Amino acid sequence: MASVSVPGGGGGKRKVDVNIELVPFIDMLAMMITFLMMTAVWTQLGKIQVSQAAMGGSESSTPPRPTLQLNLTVTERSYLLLVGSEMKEIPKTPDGSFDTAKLVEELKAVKKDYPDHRSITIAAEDGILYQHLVLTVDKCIEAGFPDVSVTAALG
Amino acid sequence: MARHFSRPIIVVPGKRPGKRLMRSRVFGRGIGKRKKDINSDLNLVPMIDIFVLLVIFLIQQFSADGDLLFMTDRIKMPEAANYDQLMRAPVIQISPDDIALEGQMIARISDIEGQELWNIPKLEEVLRDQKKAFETLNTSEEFKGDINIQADVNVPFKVLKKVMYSANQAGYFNINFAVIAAGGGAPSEETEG
Repeated sequence: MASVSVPGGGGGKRKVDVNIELVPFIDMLAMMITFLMMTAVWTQLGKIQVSQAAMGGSESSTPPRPTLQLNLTVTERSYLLLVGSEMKEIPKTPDGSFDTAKLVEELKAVKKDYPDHRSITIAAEDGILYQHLVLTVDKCIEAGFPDVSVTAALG
Repeated sequence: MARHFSRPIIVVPGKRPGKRLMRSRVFGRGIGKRKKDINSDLNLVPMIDIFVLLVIFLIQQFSADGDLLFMTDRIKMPEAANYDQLMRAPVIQISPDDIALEGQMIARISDIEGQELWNIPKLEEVLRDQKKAFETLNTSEEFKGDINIQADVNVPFKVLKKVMYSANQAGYFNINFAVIAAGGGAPSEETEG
């Protein structure tokens, strides 16, 4: 057991060596470890905030400021990126997954031209899976468009 | 007489080599020496060091985020790298089979998919009730309209849009998709504010 030896105990006087009781300390540490292991959360959770884009016209009385119209449509075959009036198609890669690298590249190019613009509207087809939608939203945020609105693709 | 008493009375059995042999460096090794004490103290200090390090590591890992969602095997959540910290809000769970609000079953996916309605009437009704209850109980606190959606990766957008529309109609405008943090990165600062 751990002990502390203090000099000066000679001459027939009482011993001044002290034993530190480590067992309760070890007990406490073992209990803490058990409790923390049981309550530990190994998967870190997060959230991606989105808003739902209005389907109808704006009801506000003030006329809207002319801003860039940035829409991204997620279809079964490709991404359709609408920047103003210019439409770009980003088809899926040969392995069948969405080409997110190309999407980020295109969005970063838009961000470079419009550095103050923060919003993007994502329209998805009915058959698009939730994981692909989240992936698309994630890539839009990565490219510098954190205000994401989600709506249903028309047609 | 004195010489007689200097001899030991009880002779312990064992090796008794001659004096010259005992003094010998080669043959006298180990003879006449006392055996080592077999009582030895365990050195607990390294173990305590490891325990302390483990406790510090586990305290750093400790997070209450797991309590915000009902984790279940039926829902496999998607991963995202650009996420924000999850906050307490009503949770809509969308599994491949059904939709639940705070653990309470609302509707079956198979029933919803066939409907032409944009919303899910029961979900909207329950959310409206929750909002009303919040406003009645918390008169000083403003209703923020946050809602967490915990959906399975394979849920189609057709179902998701109905859930989102119902939440919107009930007054929940801040929709949060619950995700698993990918890559162990820190929460995104872009999404804050």
